[in-house]
Amino acid sequence: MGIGRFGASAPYQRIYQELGLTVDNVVRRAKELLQGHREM
Amino acid sequence: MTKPVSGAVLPPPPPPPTARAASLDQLCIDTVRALATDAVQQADSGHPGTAMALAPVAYVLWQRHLRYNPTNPDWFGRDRFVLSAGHACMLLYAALYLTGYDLSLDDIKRFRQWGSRTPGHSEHGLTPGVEATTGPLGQDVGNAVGMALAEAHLGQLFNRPGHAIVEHHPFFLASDGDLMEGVSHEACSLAGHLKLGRLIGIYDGTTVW
Repeated sequence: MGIGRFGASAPYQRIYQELGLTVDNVVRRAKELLQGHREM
Repeated sequence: MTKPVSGAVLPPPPPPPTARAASLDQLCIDTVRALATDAVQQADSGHPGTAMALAPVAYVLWQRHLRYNPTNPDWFGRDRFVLSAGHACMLLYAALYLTGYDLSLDDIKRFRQWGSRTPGHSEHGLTPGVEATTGPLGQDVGNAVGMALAEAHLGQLFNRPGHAIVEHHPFFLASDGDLMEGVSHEACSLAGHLKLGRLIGIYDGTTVW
């Protein structure tokens, strides 16, 4: 997981939320990737 | 305040203030300080110390030396002010707000908040009047030297005897941290070599850590 922009200024929990650096989002993206591999 | 290198042309020093003007000066300086501390307190993060210490410098610069037009921040003839100590950006925001730029008290109330125009390090293109995105210490001494180089180049190209078109001053305000970084030394060395006499640097040597 990464970001495609410069950083931002805000309380860090808000930034993690806005930029998708959360547990839920990481799990969701990981599952999507695994799903893609299965289909190949 | 560092002494400008030879070639720099500064306006003559103002006459000594009357008692009333001096108290007004003090009120303005204290207002800058209060804005900086209140904003940092509200955000619960940030650097009030440098902004408080340098409030008198900012006041004297914006009140007596810098040439600028708050209603047209891109006016070509303006002096360029680069706050190399980007962590002290509340100083810059306070100065921009108090001198009438398009920056409101509500913007300052949202200091360091998501989507605000007053992030924790000043960003060019986001806040009117911010000349450079600053924060990485030392880097923006180089930025100011580049602006001085551009000024000198354009001056050579377009100025004619008795008709100077390009004659602004780039200023930078650097903290000790800025001058601990090698990039600032290399940039200043280049400025000296190229005789960029219109560049004015201010160095803040603090003993408070």
